[in-house]
Amino acid sequence: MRKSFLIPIIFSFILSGCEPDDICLEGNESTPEMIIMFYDVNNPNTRKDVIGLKVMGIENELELHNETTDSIAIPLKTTVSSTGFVFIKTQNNTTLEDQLTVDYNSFDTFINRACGFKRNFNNLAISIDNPSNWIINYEIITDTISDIKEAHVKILH
Amino acid sequence: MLKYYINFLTVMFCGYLFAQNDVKTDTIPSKVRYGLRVGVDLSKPIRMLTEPNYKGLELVGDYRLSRKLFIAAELGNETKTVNQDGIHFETSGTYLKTGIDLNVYNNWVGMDNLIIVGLRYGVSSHKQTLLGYNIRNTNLYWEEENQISLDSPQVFKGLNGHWIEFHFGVKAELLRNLYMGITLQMHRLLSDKAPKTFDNLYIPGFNKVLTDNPYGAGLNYTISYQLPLYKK
Repeated sequence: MRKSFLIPIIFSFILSGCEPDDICLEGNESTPEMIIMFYDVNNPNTRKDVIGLKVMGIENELELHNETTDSIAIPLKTTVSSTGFVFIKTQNNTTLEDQLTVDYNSFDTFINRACGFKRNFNNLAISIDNPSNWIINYEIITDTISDIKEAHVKILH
Repeated sequence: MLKYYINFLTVMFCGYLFAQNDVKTDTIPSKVRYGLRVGVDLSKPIRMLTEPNYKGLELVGDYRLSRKLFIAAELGNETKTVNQDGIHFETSGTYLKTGIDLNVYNNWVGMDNLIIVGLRYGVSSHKQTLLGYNIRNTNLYWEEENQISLDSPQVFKGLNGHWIEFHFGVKAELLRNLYMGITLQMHRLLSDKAPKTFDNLYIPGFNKVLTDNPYGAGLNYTISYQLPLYKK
């Protein structure tokens, strides 16, 4: 019986090395994108498709979206407090280009051990530079972006 | 986690084997020594050698109430730093576990070995320091750096945990009044006070806290000395 007390030493080594990592799953929360819904300026409660909508980030050549749609989700920068986007609408073979800048503060909330935190945005402020004037107006529905359940911003066109 | 259970079952089985050593006990019960047994957990310094981000000390003690029953306690202090993909934090604090041990082993006359089944109530008082973390962002459009290292770490003080433990262990008397023992512990968290904007990811004495799972495991490997008081 006394010799069996060597076994515990081995056990303690096994246990101390045993720290299974939780895995961050695809379905776990993440830093939310800003959801924009497009509405008809003449009928502000009706959603309206933007024909041939192309969205890009300023200083980023990659297209975020390129389709006819009435809603989009766009990622805000997490390292700075302002993000600019170019919204291009193609109509009758002419391209109309407006710019939208979002300013915000941010705060981080804990998800879990494996995923870490996510960044939320608040105190949203939007400015629109609309030389081509297809975006008529906007409305901030909620000035805190912490999930992607509902639209945060309404754009009238 | 499964590994813990397998190890636990293995030792349970060992205990079962020991228990087969049925010995005919004397009809006149022999006297047993009563005393205060104090000791130290050797698994903590072993863990400090193998895990650079861990520091710990645990003192153990028990006192015989009757032939089979002991009151028992563990008092410890732990500091554990975890740095993994999602999170970099340190937990440090003190814990106290109190409860009872039941010796289910029938000794030969004059011997004092124990197979222990025990229950504990554990309490910790600790703090957690957030040193850095990852901002999870599934949209990599802006190709930004998501790892954040906090220049001024956030300290969350005044945290605690309450849990119960089931112990299964053995203690053998190597020399007179000198014991060596191992105990496997199953923990179940009852409640904890976590930071509002963070969580208790490690609780001293309890070990790693899993998401959506109140169970934990632990072990100690003790050497202890019994201060003999009287025989009965």
